[in-house]
Amino acid sequence: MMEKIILNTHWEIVPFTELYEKYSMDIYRYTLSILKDRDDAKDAVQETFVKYVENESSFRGDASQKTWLLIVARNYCYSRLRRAEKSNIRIDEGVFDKAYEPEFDSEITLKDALLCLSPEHNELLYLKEYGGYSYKEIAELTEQTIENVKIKLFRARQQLREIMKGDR
Amino acid sequence: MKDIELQISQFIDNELSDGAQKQLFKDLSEDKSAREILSDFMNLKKGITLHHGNITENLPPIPIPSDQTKSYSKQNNKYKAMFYLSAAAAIVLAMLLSMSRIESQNNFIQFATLQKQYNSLKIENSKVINHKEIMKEIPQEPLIIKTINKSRKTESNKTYLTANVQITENKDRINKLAQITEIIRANKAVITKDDFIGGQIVGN
Repeated sequence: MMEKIILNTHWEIVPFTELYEKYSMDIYRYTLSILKDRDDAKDAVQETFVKYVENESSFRGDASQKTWLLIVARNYCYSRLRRAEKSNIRIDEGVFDKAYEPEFDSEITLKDALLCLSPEHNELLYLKEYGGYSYKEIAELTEQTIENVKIKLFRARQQLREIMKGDR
Repeated sequence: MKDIELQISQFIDNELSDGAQKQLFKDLSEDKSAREILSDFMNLKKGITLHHGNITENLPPIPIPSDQTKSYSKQNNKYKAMFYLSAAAAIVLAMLLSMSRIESQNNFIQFATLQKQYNSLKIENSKVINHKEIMKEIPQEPLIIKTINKSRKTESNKTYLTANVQITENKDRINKLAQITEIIRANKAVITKDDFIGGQIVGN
């Protein structure tokens, strides 16, 4: 099969696999923070890159490739969550897989606490703490005001702290 | 309390202004629970970063959809076809151009030859006109009548006039005509389309 090539943000031709290797893990982590399920997150990564291939011509440097991929991934994740809500399937049924299942005897871990947060709070924490994005960038990515981002991040931290302390 | 917590959150996000930071430090120095919150938030920040950093997964290679591949190959084929078409057109044009040059050269040679022939015919034609003068010399009488015998016969008092007449052709006339015909033939060149075979003049 012929190697798919794409233009990067510096208008250089790079193989598609290079882009995939560079960003796929970050997109996976991001989608996992929203969907909280490894298989769903994998699907989301695949969908995101397939969408990227399909709509590559419409992408032209307004945002960085990573931001573009994050937006696509985000749209996919939330539409999946909405579909699940509509069909009354609990998307977080598979959340507590073996790797994440808390033991009742032990103290609650950060992993488990993060799983208890809403997808939106999880997403914001990922973007801020791991992604290192500014409030402005997060606001643009998630299509909300900077003020909202600021307050939601605070609430997410507050909630996480309460869970960790066992207040909830 | 909520305000200071919000400010702490902004502070660890590095989004607090210098003035607000100064105020926050002042508040923190006076408030132990605020310092605890700051400490917790800082630990959470570290923990979340580590948590996400530790996530690993063997992601399968991305399958580019077949129809996508097809469409790309189709596009490639389209461009390939267009390239070959334009290349072929360029070759044909070049050939036509070279052929037209050769043809024009041939035409020029042909024209020059015809011009030469025409000029020679013109000269010969003037000679033919001179031959008309010669033709005047041709004897007009085609036949020569000779009376060989003339005799009178008388028979029973009747007189009959008998004569043997010999008719011969006028040799001088014939010779002259033959000469003129030869001259005319020699000087006359008729060019018909049969003379043109393969763009070359055959014969006269």
